[in-house]
Amino acid sequence: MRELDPGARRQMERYLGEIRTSLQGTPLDAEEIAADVRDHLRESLDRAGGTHSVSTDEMKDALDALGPPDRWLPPDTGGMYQSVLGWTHGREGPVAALVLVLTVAGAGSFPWIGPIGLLPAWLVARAVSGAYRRAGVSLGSWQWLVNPPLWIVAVGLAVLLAVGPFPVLAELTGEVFGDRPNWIGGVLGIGLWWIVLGFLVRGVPHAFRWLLHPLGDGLLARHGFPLAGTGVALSVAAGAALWLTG
Amino acid sequence: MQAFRDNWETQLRRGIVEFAVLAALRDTERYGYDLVRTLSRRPGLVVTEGTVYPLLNRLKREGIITSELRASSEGPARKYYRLTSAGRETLAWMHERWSELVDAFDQILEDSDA
Repeated sequence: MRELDPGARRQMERYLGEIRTSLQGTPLDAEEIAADVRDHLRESLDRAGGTHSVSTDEMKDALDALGPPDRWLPPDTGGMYQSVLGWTHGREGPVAALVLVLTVAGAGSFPWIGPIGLLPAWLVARAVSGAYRRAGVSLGSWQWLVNPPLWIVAVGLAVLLAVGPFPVLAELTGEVFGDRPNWIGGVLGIGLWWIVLGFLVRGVPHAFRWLLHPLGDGLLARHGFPLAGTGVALSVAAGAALWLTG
Repeated sequence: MQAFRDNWETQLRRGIVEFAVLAALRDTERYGYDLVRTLSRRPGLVVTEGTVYPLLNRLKREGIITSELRASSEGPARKYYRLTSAGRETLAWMHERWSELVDAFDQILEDSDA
């Protein structure tokens, strides 16, 4: 096999890890499938030719051709989603009604227990949505009752992830930088947080897709780069502002 | 409407890809990469390369295909897949069902045109 750049090797190992993760809970032999895919990549990259080591761009092209493992949708593989599908298929109406009731109850309980009240609705909706999506079966019009808690939680989580730490960071950096405006320190903290978040998205995009479904369904590992880059820009700008106001 | 069509197409292709894998192994054994490329080059199948490997693993579990690691003159050893006797029977059965299905639809369409 052609040598791999360190970045290309990390890409490949990360992809093989996603295979193992996405096949957990199924009867399939994830290790054997990962080994088969490794052999496929070797063959594909060797046939592409060249004596230079495989770059991250070449590896990305080869992995794009294989497709995201969590969207392979292995048919009839059993597991939790298959069980959910078996129970809900043909009963979409009652299931959608259950989600609606749980959503209304969760919204009604918000003043007392906050967003935790939406957890039951989100769990049921997430299981149903995941099962139908894996099976390639549409929920049809019932999706309008099943999806709301997913969107509410996804948007809320996205906002929380993006700017949730701001007040705490502003407070902390205010203590560090004394008489300078807290918000500048908050922006610096957010910038540093977005760098971390960018690397997390880069490393485990499937985790973010799962958590932020359906809002984050299109999130890919490469989106971590612009996120981290924006974090760098914010950090540099805030750092400059702190220096200028110092 | 588009969601309905997409769903129908997904269901249709899911069943056909298994048939296609067995048909591709009917006359010859193939190693994984060769099999994947053979299938993915057929535009009508719309096979994402990666989806073939879980399918091969499942067909092995069902005893429909078997695999064997064999030394290769072109590099590292390759895993070759071939149909088992149960696989050949399954392929023949699928072929019969497919022919029946095509005949049935032809008749429905003829009746509609009449």
